[in-house]
Amino acid sequence: MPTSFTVMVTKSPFDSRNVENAITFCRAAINSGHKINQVFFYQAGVQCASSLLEPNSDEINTRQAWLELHNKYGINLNVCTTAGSRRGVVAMDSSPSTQTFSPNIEAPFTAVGLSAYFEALAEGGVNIQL
Amino acid sequence: MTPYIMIQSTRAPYSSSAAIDAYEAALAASNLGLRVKYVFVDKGIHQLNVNQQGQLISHKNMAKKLSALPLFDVEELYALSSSNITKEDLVLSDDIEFIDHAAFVSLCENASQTLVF
Repeated sequence: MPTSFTVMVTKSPFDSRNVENAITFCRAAINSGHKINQVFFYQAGVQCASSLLEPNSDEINTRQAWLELHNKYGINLNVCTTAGSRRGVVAMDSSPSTQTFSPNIEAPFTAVGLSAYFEALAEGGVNIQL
Repeated sequence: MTPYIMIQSTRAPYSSSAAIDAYEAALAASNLGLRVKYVFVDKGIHQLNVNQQGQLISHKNMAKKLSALPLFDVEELYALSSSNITKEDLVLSDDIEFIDHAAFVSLCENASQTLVF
């Protein structure tokens, strides 16, 4: 029976292998017939969403991998607004301070509150934290 | 038994943002009406130390923040720690239940979801 997964990513792209593992997990789950109802970026994981990331050409581009997962499977990519603001990862409408600099959360990444994550958990399924 | 989300807070109060992140996650879950069991594990128990002085390093006092948990309906509080800290050293001392490893495992097994910070 297919399982619905909610994935919480709490690490930044280059400080551990957690993000790569999360991407691999999502691919494997979908290829096995399961569903990823959302990926929620929290704590340092919000840095995955920054459009300013520019890894070297011979390194894995995790942001691109998330975009491909979204484009191919429609996975929701939700970024915690509060955790993002603390770390300079912001959407246009998340803070008045964005009037003075360019926001770096771009679609399909979406800035949301923690409640969006817990609403998904309340609907059931399995939570994976990486 | 009503399903519950278990939040484990495992870090010392000011070593990273983990303590605040766990606190905010608990409040968000409770705000949605979800049942939360909040467990202070290992160094996380120092978040409750009544003698901490976060203001000396320009941080808000974590113990004072945590004191508000019951006001937000996060009332099931536990501590698992091998340190010598006692209830008398903690805020929320009447609300915290010290548990052993077996009870901790049981809490984990019965949780519908677990988050670790």
